[in-house]
Amino acid sequence: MSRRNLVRRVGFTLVEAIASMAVLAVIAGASVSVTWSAVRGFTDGAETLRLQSQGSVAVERLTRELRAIPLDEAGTPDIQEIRADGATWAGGDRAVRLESGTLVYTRGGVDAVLCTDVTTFRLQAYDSVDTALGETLAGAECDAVRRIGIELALRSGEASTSLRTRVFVRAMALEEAP
Amino acid sequence: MHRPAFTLTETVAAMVILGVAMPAMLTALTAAHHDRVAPVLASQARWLAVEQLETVIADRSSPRLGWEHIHAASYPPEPSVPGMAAFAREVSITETGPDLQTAGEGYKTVIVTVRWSDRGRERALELATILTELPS
Repeated sequence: MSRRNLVRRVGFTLVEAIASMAVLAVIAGASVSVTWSAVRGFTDGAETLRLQSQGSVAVERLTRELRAIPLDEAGTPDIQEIRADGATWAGGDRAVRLESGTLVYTRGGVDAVLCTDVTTFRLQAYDSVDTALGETLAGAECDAVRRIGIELALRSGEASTSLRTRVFVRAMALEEAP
Repeated sequence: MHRPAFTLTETVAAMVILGVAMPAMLTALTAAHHDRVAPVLASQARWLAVEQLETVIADRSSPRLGWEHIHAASYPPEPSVPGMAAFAREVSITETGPDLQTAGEGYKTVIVTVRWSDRGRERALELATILTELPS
């Protein structure tokens, strides 16, 4: 066995190594955008799920509160004000409002955060035959309110979601014909 | 003197295996992403069903609409819910006797169905309530 054979190394030649790297670069380049898209979609999906869960809990709480709006002495819903982005009821004891992307519920002067990351919060009042009332109602204008529509949209980064529902003020369930 | 090292054949084989495995992994990742989004659509559908159910309940209690207004023709199907175009919604109303089975009067079973498509599969969610005639 010659000395040349004794020191022969088994492995890549420079040409083979460069060819391997070239092939690898092509494969990596093609898969990077697909991988990035899949990973991004996965993380956005997780964030969307978080937003939806948070929004759903907030709307659940809000619908329960609005359904339970009591009657005032005149036998109409005890609502002081309904605006597009908030409402006050129960003699001013309870309220909901959107404040810098945070939905805040107030009871007895104590604030509680219903949810954050809010981009849209909209209330729309309707009368007993489902006719939309004005965007802003105050005082006696609120007497006609029977139903309240709720729209909530949330966004965090690229993730977003929205919810929409409606509430019937249960205290008016036994309302008599005029 | 032999140094352990990959041959070109081994390297290419490894790349081929990776090339086969990567799409499968990415497909699994994408499927997982869709599975995460599916509950979001179901939640939105649930609130749309509640919206319609509340409307029916409010109509029943309305002095100007009332019990007689509660029939399927008052709530035409919505192939595309306004503002939430990915969803379709319909209402079915069946009037029965007190056992909720046999034909009769005084009890109306209201079922709101919201439908949507999820990766080509049709999904549906139903919410139901039973309305009774208000005491006169």
